[in-house]
Amino acid sequence: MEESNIRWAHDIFNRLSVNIETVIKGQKACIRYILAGFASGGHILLEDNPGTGKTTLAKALAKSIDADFKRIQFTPDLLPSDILGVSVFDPSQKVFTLHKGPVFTHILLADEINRASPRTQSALLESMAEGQVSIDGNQLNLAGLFFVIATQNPIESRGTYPLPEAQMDRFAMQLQLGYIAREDEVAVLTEQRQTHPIQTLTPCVSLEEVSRLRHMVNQVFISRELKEYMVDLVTATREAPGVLLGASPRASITLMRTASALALFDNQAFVTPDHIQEIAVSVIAHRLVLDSQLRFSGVTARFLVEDILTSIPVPV
Amino acid sequence: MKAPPFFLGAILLFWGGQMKTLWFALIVAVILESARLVKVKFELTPSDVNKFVDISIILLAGTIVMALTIENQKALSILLKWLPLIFFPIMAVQQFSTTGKIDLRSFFLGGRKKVEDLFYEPKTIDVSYIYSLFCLFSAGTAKPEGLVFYSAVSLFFTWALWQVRSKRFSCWVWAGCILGILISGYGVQKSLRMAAWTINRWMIQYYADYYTTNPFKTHTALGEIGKFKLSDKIMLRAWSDAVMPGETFLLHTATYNKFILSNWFIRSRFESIVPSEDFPSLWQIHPPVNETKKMTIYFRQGQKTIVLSLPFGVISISEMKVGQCEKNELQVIRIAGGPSLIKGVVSYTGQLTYDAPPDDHDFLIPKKEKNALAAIAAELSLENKSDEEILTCIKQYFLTHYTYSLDLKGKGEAQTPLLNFLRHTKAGHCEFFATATALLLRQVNIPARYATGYMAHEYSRLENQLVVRKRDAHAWVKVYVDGQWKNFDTTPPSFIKIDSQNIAVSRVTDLFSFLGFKLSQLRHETGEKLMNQYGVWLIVPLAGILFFRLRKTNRIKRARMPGTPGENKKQRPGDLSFFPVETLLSQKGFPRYPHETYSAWFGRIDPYFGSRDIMDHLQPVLLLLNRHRFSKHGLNKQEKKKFESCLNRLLKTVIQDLPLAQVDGDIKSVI
Repeated sequence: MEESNIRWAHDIFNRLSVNIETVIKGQKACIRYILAGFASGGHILLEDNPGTGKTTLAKALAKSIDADFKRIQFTPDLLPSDILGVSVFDPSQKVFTLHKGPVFTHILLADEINRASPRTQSALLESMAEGQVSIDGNQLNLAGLFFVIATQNPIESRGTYPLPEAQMDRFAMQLQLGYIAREDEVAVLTEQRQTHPIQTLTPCVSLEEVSRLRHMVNQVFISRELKEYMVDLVTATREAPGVLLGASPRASITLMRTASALALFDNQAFVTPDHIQEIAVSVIAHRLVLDSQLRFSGVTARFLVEDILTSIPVPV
Repeated sequence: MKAPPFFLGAILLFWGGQMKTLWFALIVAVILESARLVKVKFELTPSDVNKFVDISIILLAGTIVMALTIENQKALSILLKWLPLIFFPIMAVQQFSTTGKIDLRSFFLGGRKKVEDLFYEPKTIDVSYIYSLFCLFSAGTAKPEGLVFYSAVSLFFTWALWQVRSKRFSCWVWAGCILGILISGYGVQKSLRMAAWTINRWMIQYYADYYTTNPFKTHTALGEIGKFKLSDKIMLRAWSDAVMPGETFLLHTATYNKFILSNWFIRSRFESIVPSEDFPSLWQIHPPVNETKKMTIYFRQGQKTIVLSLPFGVISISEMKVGQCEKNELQVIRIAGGPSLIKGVVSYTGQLTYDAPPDDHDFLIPKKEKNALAAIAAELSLENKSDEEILTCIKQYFLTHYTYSLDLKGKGEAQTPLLNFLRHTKAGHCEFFATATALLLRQVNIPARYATGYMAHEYSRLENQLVVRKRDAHAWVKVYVDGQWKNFDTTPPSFIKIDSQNIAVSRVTDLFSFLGFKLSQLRHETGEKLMNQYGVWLIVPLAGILFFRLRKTNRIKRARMPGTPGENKKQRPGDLSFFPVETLLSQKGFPRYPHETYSAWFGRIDPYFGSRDIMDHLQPVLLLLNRHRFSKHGLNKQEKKKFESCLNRLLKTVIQDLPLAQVDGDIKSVI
């Protein structure tokens, strides 16, 4: 990979990052991860308490890219056809015509995804994994760029359904925003006095640039040692005591791609162990299903992955 | 429950004192007790403990082998004697371990695998009291004086119990109770011993009367009524070059000289024979003579003491492994303390040269029979004949006028059974013939004695040796003519045939008896020989197992400490490495954890360096290193040189000047 290409990719990242940061203050790291996930072709799940800026962040990303953007507000009475689309009989033409659902877009914001029943949530499974949907027995391909960014409240909140494990696995990473620093929050108050900054946000990256970026992520070099290290990390989750379901090979692939994207972000043509350690928790933790005994003793999946990170020697 | 201080030491010294191995005991005791004073303790994993348990088990096996090799009979007592030393490794590993206990599962091979289980809960025990009990057992085998041993054992038990006494009662009540228990315990064990001793004596007497040859008295079936019972149980086996099939052989057991009321008696003293020092299994009965015959005899030893049935004129018995051997002046030889099958290779002359010369007892005739005997002597007109003629005449007399019979008629209308035999029935078994002959000879002033033993005549083709059954028991007369003793047998020779006809020999029983004999032989003779020759070689596989076990368990997983070089840090020659920096910083007290990348490590220790801008120096080196390690093409020559120069500068100028990590607490806060 040429130096110029790397610099170009680094530039794109910077542009996007700066653009989003005009709206979301004090979430630099989180934006970095979201962009890594986006550039590596994965989908992202944002989980946090209400009002922490999940939807705004998702919208800011969508608006920064010059692409189709649709949003589904997940409610308990949402049906699969509300997402995928439905064939409607046209009396004048006497044929069924397909009314495509919101899934046929470039960027899809699935807001409050865990408020819909598992039946509806599972409608997204095929589209997220394979970039296609099946309606009335017909397979319809989605756009080349299909990116789902979902938000959800922690499942302990009232009126939510936990996401099925299969769907959790389809998200490249789950991120938590957390509360921002004091000064940042003061800045937010100042900025939103007249208008919300998101309304003035303009796209800064074109669709072609995104697809080129995605292509470049796959060209970042990863040494065999680091591949082994990643597989060791993922395998350790399967062997850890108290884990009912460990991370899948899909997790290793995602870990590799997101780490590559981070390397590009850092203007490097190769992945270093720091990149892997940086992203591992976000990529792996949400895929694990823990024993109830372990859960009740206060161990979360994130703790467990952090623990595994400190138990496996890293190649340096 | 931990043993009180110096308890183990004291009990070991007691053991040493009893076993006369005080030096061993002192060393062991000092080692075990030093664990209290020395602060060195070892953190032992279950596999380490297993290793020591293995050593003990293999020591145990080795001691068994050695004990069997050295002295077959005393194997158990040798084993017991060294019990405290055998289990010393286990005791020591407990004393010097940090836990002070031993996992119960180490003692069971099946339980050891469970140790690998993640949720394994150790079940630990303190083995010190069990070990003490072993010591006491061991000390008890030394045949100590009763009162000393009892008081010592009581002392140790009191000592141990004192640790766990209930605080609810005062010391005096507790001491009183213990004292009461000790006294009553002593009384009970004393009376139990008395009872056991008395019962034992009764049993010995009972058996002595009915089952074994009593060298002082023999009961004859002279007065009994019914049929003389015979058994075909094989009593002994003999083999000799001189023995030809079809030949008969007298084996002498005992000789008596006084006949009272159907019983023969003797009063004699046994003198014990000292085995030769070079060959402990050679018993020299009489001074060696030139011409001897040899016979190998196997006896079964049912009781503690048995009287041997041997050929006449025994000079010596070799290869006989018994504890004690005695003889009396009538050539009765009895032994004690041996295995269940006793082998003896007997050298003998076949002459009665060693029997004591006749004395007054050899002329005694009971009053009741005197008249009848005188009548017979007169009838045969024995008075005028020479000794030789008398013997021929008497033999002829019994052969022609008497018949052999196993029917026992009692005394009938006569005064005694013998009179009944002489006057009315004129039929009986060997005891009648021998008694009558002995008394008849005495009537004509020829000294005569009554001898018992076996008439060996059956040559077994199966076993290829002589077998002597219980029904071959025989009685005859020893007569003193021409200045020496001779055997004189007046029982009609047909008696062997009659006996054999009366009792059918069961081939199946014989076969089993032979198999049993062979097994015993294998165990006591061949086995011992093999053990003596090759027993030491058994140690070789044992040592092999020990070595293998130790080697196998030596691979103990050690937890990685910070700063220890990981596997991937083996430096290839000519390769760039950050290792010098890592070593130097580690020496300064800033070790890197194996899971930390270099940047994470510097991020962690950076606050400690304060104002020094070490990170500025490090960053470019790290970038180059990362490129070298993880990029597709690595560094070119120029970059390599640059890396090395940067690294050197870093080492010489920056890191050298860094202060040492000063306080433990400081590092911890950084870590």
